[in-house]
Amino acid sequence: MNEYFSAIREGQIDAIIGSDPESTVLHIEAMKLHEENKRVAEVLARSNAKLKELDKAKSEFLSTASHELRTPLTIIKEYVGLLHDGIAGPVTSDQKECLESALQNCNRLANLINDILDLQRLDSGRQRIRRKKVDVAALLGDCHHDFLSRCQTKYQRLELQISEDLPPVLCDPGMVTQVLVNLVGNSHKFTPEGGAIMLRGYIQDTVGQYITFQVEDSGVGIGEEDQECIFDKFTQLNRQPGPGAKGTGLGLAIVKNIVELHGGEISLKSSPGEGSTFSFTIPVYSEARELTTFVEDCLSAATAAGRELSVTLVKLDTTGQADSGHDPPDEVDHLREIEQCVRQTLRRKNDETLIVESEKMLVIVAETDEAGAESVRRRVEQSIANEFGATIAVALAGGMVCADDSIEDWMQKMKGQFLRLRPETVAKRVLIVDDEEQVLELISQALESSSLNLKIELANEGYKACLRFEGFEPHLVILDINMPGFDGEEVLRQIKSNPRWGATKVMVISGTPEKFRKMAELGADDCLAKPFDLKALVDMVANLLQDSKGTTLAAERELVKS
Amino acid sequence: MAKGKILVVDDEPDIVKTISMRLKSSGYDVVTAMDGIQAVEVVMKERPDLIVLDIRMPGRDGHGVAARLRDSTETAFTPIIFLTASTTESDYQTAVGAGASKYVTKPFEPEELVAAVEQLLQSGHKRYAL
Repeated sequence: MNEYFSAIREGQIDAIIGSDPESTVLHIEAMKLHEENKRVAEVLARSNAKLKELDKAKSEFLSTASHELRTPLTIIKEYVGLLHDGIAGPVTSDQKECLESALQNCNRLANLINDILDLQRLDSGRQRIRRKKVDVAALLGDCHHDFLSRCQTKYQRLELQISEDLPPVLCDPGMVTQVLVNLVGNSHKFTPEGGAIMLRGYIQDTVGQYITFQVEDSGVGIGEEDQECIFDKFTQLNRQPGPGAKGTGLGLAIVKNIVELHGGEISLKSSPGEGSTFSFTIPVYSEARELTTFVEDCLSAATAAGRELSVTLVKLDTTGQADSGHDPPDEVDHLREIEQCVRQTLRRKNDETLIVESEKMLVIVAETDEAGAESVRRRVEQSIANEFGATIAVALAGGMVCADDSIEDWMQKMKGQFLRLRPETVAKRVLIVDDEEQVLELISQALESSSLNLKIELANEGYKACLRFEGFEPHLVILDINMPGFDGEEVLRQIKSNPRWGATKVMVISGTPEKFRKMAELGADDCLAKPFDLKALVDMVANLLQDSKGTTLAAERELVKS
Repeated sequence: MAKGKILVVDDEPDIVKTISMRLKSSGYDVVTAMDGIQAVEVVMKERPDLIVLDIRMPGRDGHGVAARLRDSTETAFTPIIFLTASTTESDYQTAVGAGASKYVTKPFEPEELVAAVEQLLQSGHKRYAL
């Protein structure tokens, strides 16, 4: 019976016809439940949409309000500053002291606005986190260095204690530095003259998945009842900070937010009069963790911005390269080359790439729609050298992938989209340019009936050919030189002047071979004099498409022979 | 002898006034404009060595001014310091895209602004044309 209900609930059974009165009753009950479920789901969806709308309104309000606050604050601060600096006329030392206090409070207000905006960005997930492999000693060392002179003015000892051989962590170094600066700043403020502050980095957990960062001071300490709310927003404890500006009450809320965004935890041990110890954890770097968080971060950024996201995975396939006789080319180096090429087509600031060295994989995440993803894929296809085969997978997040999916779900879903790309199976795109229709016909027929796997397009004028580069992205252009108007030489210049077409091969054909040398100088890869033998043409095309890294110009060789 | 001529553009008269005073006291010649359209006129007439430009102004905004100046070869390389109360990343990106040499957020430290001006003029920094 349970199975029956769950089947009804899941909508697998829509209606049951039966004469058994008991089953009819059950059926009616089940239908009622089904309806109820649908209704609840609708209500939830509606209130969810409403909440999202409200959250957006809140963000907009905070952003506008902060702008409106900043302008008058800037003006006040500047006028006070002009007076204080004596630019508006001489000031007495008493007046200067008053102006000093006014300035300090302007700064306090400015800090508060900045903190509110920081927290707002963190809360709403709009803060873009850029994680990378970071050395723990460098992080702590920089913070120690920055605070050393400030602590010396209060005769405080600032010490650094880092365990040996700590593995690197995976974090946004700017954000973790913000956490450290905040904690050490607090310790500095709440520790009396002659006290001590200790900065530590070590591994506490037995599995070694996290590094613990610790800031311990010999300051005034925090009472037990206060410890519970210390990470809440706008908490100002009744601590005696001594001289210096008061905080905004948001610092520790920001700190906690950042630590949790990194997947770590923060804790506090303290008792009044005996100092405080803040400890937080940051995960140890691993390639797998980097990949997971990279994709998740990109997804949440795109979701927050309401944009579509496409993900392209490129996995190099090096089987069969051993018999080529050359030294095996380095896959990671080649991935970097592909990355460079692809970067030229990426426009948005959130478009990112990541190389997973152990997997020989390049991940490209771009805020594009289907057409954009297609052009990224084509760019990748074009930039893969012939020694390599590759597997390329493209997925559009938003449609088939949602931000809540775990990376495993996500890879699983992408699997269906995988596309095997091998040199011999990829159709190479060839653009034939000639003003004579018969020549176009002749060449395309010859190529189509050959054993080569080609996709062919034709252009009967030079400028039309140039217009096709963007959409068609040919591997090879077969180019007539003598054409009315926009001639072959001009087309060749266009191709060679744009770095995007650097990998495109050009084969010139002409009834006037005298022009070949000039064309070779302009960067043509090969040439063929008209009238030509069709078999020679097909061989030349095969050769050019196969030898994508060939540098010796066959055109030059021809000239030497003649 | 003035260290250089600087155009200050903001729709808030008090911002224009305070920045002008600050820059004059640091030894610069200052010309001013209260909106984007006036700013372009003043640039053409006065040929300032550097522009301090507010982003959000009614009518032609800071981005519009920068784009307009970029189109003319004579003004394309005049360094621009964008001044804004906005801290959103998209504004920052647009400003850098429009060829901002420097980006200063309100409220700013006067020393920071003066240092930015000095550095840009001394290094002969060129706004990169896109």
